[in-house]
Amino acid sequence: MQTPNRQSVEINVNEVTVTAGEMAEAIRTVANKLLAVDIISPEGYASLGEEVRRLNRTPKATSWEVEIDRDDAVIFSETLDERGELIIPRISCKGISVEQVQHDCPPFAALDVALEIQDGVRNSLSRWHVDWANSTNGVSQSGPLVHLQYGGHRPGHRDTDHPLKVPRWCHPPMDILLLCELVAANFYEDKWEELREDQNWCKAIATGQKLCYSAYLRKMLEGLSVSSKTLLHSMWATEWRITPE
Amino acid sequence: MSYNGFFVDDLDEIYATLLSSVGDGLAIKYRPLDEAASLAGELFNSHPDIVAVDFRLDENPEMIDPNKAYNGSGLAQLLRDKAAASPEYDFPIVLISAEDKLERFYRPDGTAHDLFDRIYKKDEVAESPKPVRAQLISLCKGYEDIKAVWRGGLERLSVFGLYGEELTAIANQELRAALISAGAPHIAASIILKGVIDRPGLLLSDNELSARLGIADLRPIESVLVDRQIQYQGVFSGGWRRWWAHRFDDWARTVFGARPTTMTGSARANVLNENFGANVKAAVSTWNKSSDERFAFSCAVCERPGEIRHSVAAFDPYAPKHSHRKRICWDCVQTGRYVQAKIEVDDVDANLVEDVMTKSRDGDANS
Repeated sequence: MQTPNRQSVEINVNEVTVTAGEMAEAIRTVANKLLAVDIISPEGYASLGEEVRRLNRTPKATSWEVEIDRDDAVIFSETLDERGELIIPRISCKGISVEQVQHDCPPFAALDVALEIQDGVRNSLSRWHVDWANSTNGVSQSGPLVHLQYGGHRPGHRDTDHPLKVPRWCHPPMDILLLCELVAANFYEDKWEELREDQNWCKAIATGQKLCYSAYLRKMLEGLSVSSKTLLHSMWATEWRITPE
Repeated sequence: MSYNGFFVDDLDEIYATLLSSVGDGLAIKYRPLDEAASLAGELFNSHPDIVAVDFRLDENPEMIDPNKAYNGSGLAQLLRDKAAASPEYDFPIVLISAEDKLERFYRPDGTAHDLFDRIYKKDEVAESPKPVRAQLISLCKGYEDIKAVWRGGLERLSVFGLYGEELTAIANQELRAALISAGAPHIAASIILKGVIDRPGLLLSDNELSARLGIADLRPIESVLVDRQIQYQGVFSGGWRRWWAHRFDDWARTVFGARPTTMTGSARANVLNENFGANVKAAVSTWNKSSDERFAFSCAVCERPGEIRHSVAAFDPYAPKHSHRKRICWDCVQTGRYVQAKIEVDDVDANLVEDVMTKSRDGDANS
């Protein structure tokens, strides 16, 4: 294999800590900016506002949680798909539990955020979730520690579950902020083209990026420097999980 | 069509003459003060097309017993109450005042200014009465148009002059519901003036359109826009020149092949010059003097074209959903011009203000 004639650059990804107060401020900014360009519904704005209030109760905490019930989801504005059919994106969060005690692994004790697309009569068209591999009695679920999965279970509607649980795509963690930007960019691109120019929007999204991507990127860089083990292998839940002491 | 009205003041009779333009169809008579209820009754019963009042009506003790003195807002309230009972005789009421403090738009004090269709400073009327007269005539005509469809419910939307499929551009629930439920023509007029004419969204002013085109001056391209029927011709268009945002968006996509605000000002100016031989000049950033910025709005303070990355959100608690949120360019923030203009930065961007105050403009151009 030929090595490209390019100077190698050493990349350092700093270890970061995001407090509950900083996350609250970032969610507040994102919620207000989404509302200003009419991307989010009033109910969706209220759901994010509730999380801001909860996080602000312990602003200096470095371990904190975000939880947005599926019935009280972050509902976005109605929009049209390529066929001209009405669709409504919704973000829910069964649980993000942030624990920033070590920096070798993404700072989560739990992570389960979902993006669901519904049609005009609230039928689910598709559902994606970014998930943390579960561990039961010390045995890790098969798959990458952090993965993107299609489908998911709707309580009480087992019959509508997607038949396959795989593939679980190796994917960096995503929090509420990053999912909000993903929705804005994919479903309301015109508005997102304005938002992405807004310095405070970028600053707020950067909070989510630092939280979710720093440890993940360090792991990737570390994996690229060895050829005896594939990246997917090193990111598989059985390999990467940090066992609590 | 000729319109008649009154100017009520306790001091400055001259403004009745300044506001009149008999040749253009507006005759304003001076009406001295009287006890409030009887003056309101007399004015209303003469079915005027417009009434102008001074805010301070208590400065000349010879005119009225100081114990019975009242402000222009008091008289306006009496007239509005009468119009609500007889909407067929409703008419515009404007304030002509020397008081600068009445200028506040983004933070109206919530006492009485919603009673007036428009507020003018006496200096403004004295120095350039022509545009003020044109606006007063447009108000008279606009009220006439609104009253003509008053009993029609949804038909009230026809005052905008859109029909067929284009109606979807204005048939949003907030505007539709507000107009249908308006209890009197002056309420509908206020919704249209303050929510549609004054705010970018459904309609765009010359400055907003320049910013969206990324150019310094609209004039070289004006005739092209008029030919494409982008100019708004609906209610109040005679006093306030505006452009339809949806028609502009459709036209701009064809011309630029993309949303214009995703392109730099220089690139947009080049496209306009190549396509129309228009000789337009690209806008210049108020922050770094570069034309290679993505101009997207007209600054709420200086009205020059601004780019989102060098701006903050303006506090605008009364913005309807169909309007675009106003923004303030960093130049107006750093120079403190926004404070003088009494326009607040929205709390969501308040943390940026401190950074902007000490930010260097050197080397901040888009590459």
